[in-house]
Formats: sequence, structure tokens, C-alpha cells
Amino acid sequence: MPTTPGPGEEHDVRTDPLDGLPADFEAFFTRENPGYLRYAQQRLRHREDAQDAVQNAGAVLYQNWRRALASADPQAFAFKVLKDAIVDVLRERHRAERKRLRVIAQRRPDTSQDELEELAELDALDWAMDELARSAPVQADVVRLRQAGLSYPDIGRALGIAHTTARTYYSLGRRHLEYLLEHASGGESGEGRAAE
Amino acid sequence: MNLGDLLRADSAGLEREFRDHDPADFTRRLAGRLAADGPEGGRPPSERPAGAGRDRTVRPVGSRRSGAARRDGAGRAELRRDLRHLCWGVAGTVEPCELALDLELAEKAAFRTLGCLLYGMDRTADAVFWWRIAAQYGDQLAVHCLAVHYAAEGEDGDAARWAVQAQDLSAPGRLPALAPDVRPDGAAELVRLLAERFDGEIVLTLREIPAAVGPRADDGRLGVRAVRGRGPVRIR
Repeated sequence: MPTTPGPGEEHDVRTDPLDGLPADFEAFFTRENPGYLRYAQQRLRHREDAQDAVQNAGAVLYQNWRRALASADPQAFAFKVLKDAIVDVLRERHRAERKRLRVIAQRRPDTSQDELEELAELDALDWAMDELARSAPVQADVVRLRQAGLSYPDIGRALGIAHTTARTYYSLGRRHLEYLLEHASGGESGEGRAAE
Repeated sequence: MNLGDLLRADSAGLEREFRDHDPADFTRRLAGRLAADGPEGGRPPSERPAGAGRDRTVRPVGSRRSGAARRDGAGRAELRRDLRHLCWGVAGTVEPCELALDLELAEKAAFRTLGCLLYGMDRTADAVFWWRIAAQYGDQLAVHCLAVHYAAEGEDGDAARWAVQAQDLSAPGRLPALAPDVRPDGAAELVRLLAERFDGEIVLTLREIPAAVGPRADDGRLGVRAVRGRGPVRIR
């Protein structure tokens, strides 16, 4: 029979961890995290890395929640935190990648031809997206966030631009991507860059 | 596979990957992690229990920082970089003689292009001046440029004012042709050509820009395009 703990004794009360979160933070993070995950996945192409990045972003956002609420737009603040968290994962991955490449160079891949073609097409899209992000970072983010399933008003809020500008930038971004992909498959300079 | 198919496939892949995702459970996982990090360490100041040792300091309403200070620096830099890239793209498609003529004819697209040329040369105030004129004439790309410019400068009030006027230009035919392989020095080169070869009332103002009257660095592609088919043209 359970007894009431006396003074100095530890309470063994199981509570939902969500109870410790401010209600507004919980609602915000629960609403936004599916889109954040897809955006992170688009950048990182690895489910666990994407989840780690969004969790890390969530922790930073939680610690700065008051600042986020006081900012011009909490969605823009949170999106910046997310982007920083993704960059951290990319930096860490870059270090690990150099080690891994040495191992891969000594092994033959056992991937099928179809899988290789699919990977190559996805790789071309990633390359074009990275190229776009280098020259027109906001356009690239608009396309990525749209890929992640966000609405234009939400994209506009995350990036601090009008929703009509988000639509216009999506159109511009697609136009640039189309050019880059055509250039990558047909032009010699594109092939050179893709191989880098 | 064309771009549309590729983007659709990618989007479907992202959807598939997280089909089993439970947003509430993901937030619970974060809460568990924060709780494990320590009872107070990760807790936002506003959520610390009253009397927990530190007085809560609330910033007075009057001390709120300006929009420029509140908006994140990296975000503003990205907006500026993006806008500059767009401006270089606009400048890359322009024939100097046509632009000079269109400026004389007070074409709204020419005013917008002139604004883009100047923004591409970091003449921001001049760019805003011409974009505003183009916007007055109803040029929608100029309205977008103004909205993005003010957002990039953290001037939220002005950005919001132009954002309200900005229309969606994604429908076919609403956006002008842009040079995809933009050259950063293209704007300066075009301004120099305009200043050297044409003497329209508006173009003459470009001669006040030091970079526009400097010695020619090389015979670039834009110089060749400017005389294609008709040779240098002087207005008046």
C-alpha cells in the first residue's frame, strides 16, 4: 500500500514532461515542428540528423522564448534558430564525412542501378538548391519551406517577407533551379561544379 | 525528370519520411530532454517560479529596440544578398540603348531597372528613389524590391506598407526575363556604358557616380551586346 512520503523523502510522482513547458511554447512548437522537420530533412537528407537539429533548435528556442515573443515575429526568430541548428549539424557532419570518404573509397557500393539513378537526380536537385542558396538564399529557403509543406503566409512570416513576395520568390527560385539543372546536365561548367 | 517532377518527388519523399511523425510526442521528447538538462537551467526566465531567488526584470515598454536592432542580422544580410542577386539578374538582360530610350519615354520598367542597376552598385538611396517612381507608375517588381529592401534594413513599418501593395507575380508572364548567369560587375559596367554613350536627362545623372566614369576595365560581354545590330546610339 503506497504511503505518503514524509519530510525529506523523495516524491515518486510521475508527471507528463509537457507540464513543465509554458503552454504558448508547447502550442507553438507542436504546431511548427512537422514543417521544421521536413525543412531540416530537405537540407540534411537524414531523418535522425533532422530530428536532432529540430530538437536542438527547440531547446535553444525554449531558452530564448521570451526573446522570441518580444521579437518582431516569433516565427522568424524560430526559423533563424532552426537554420543555425542545421548549420551546426552540417558542420559536425562535414568533419565526419572526411573520415567516411576514406573508407568508402576502398569499398564498392552495392546499390542497384535504379537506386543510383534516383540518388543522382536527388543529388542534382540538392546541388542546384545549394547553388541557389549561395546566390539567392531567401529564394532557396522559400522553395525549401514550400517543399516542407508550409503555406505562403507562414513562409513569409518565417523569412520576414510579404506572402506575395514569397510566391514571387518561389517562382523566381524555380526558374533559377530549372536553369541550374539544365546547365548541370548539358553544360560543361555545370558538370564541373556538380562534381565538386 | 523535369524540375516539377523532381520537386514533387522530393516533396512526396519528405511526406513519406515523416508520415509516422507525432508532433505532440516530439514536443514531449523535447520537454523530457529539457527536464533532464536540469530543473532550472533550461527554463525560460518567465517561467521561473516566483521567489526563486532572482527578481524578474521586465523591460519597460518605451525601451524596446528599433526594428533594425530586433531583426536578426544574418536574416537581413540574406535579404540584401538575395535582392542584389535579383537586381543583377534584371541588369543582365538590359540593352543599354533600349534602357536609355525607355528612360526618356518614362517607361515604368526602365525606372525599376535603373533602381536595380543602382542597388547592384550599392547606391541604395538612389535605387529606392527610382523604385518608388516605378512603383508610383504601378510597376509591381519595384514594389517587391522596396518591400524586401525595407525588410532587409529592419524598417518594419515601411516594409509592411510596401508588402500590403505587393502582388503575386508568380503567374506566367508577370515576371520580366532575368539573366540566370548573373555577373556581379554587370551593373557597374552597364551604368558606365550608359554614362559614356548616352546623354538623356536621366542618364546624365549617372555621370555623378564615380564608378560609372572610370577607365574601361575590359571589353566585356555587355559592351558587345550594347552595339549589336545597330551600333552605339545617342539619344537627341
